[in-house]
Amino acid sequence: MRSAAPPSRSERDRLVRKLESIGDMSADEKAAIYESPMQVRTLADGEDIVLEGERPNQCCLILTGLVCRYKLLPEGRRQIMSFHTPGDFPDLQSLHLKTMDHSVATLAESRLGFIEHTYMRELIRRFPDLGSLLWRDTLIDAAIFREWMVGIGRRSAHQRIAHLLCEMALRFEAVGLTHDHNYQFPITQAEMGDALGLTVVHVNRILRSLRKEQLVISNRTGVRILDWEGLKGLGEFDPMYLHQTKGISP
Amino acid sequence: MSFTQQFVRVNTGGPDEEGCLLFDNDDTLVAVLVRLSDQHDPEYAGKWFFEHGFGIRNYHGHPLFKDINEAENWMASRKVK
Repeated sequence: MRSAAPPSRSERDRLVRKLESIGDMSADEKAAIYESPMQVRTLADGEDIVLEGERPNQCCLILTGLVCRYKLLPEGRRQIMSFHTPGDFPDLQSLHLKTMDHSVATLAESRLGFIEHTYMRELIRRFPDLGSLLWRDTLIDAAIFREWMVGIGRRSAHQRIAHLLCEMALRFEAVGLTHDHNYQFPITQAEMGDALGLTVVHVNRILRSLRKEQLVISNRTGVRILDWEGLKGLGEFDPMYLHQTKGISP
Repeated sequence: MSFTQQFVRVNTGGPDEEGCLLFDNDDTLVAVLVRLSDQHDPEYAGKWFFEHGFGIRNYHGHPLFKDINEAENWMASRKVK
């Protein structure tokens, strides 16, 4: 982990875009976000940001890169519980739940902005509507967890992968990081398996079959959706649970 | 415990076609193994992937074996009679 240059306007803009995709913001609230003091650090791929059991006194805003929340089980098995894009605060809950009940790590080289809890509390006191928006954001996190629970418990392996690739398309789109149905999602097949409860062998077979069916091409360089409606149909993907208010469609 | 092997073709939706069924002493199916093709990374290709097992305890997931003999030894240690 190393200290790095302060966040650029476009990096801070990801958070504003993210919050504006789920609600309204005033000019003063946006200005407060652009002025938030944060300590920026660059982490390599696969580094832990905060570990289960720790009591952080700051929240982590993703400026660039990709982050996941995970839990480790005996014998090294891992369950990834969510992926996080630039503009997300993957550990916002630490503001109110003092001890981390899971760990947070990078899945690519990432620039992260650490904002003190004391500043976040002051921000929410000054701008209660911004507080409500952050609350809404954590409720949407919970909606995403519910959807993942349905997927892991009840959807086929093909559907889980299709659903995930649709979800990430809309989430990257919300922060302006998709282009012509393409987005960067530099996870390994093992990481995808750890998120979806699948083996790397099954993930490999299914990605090949989705490519053969001309639905999507997904590899470590990125995701290219060839047939959005087809992929949505296969994954039974209904974006309602993301509660995006701006009618996003990649 | 000894096993009987029956080699079969398996439709996994791709080139992983070479399969082996394992039957126990009572001629009851206890495992379906598939040999991974070279569409997989070199650390996986050529190994036997445990697709499904029946009547087995204390395992999670889908282990990989370098050959069928190794799979049989693993099965013998976990088979529920």
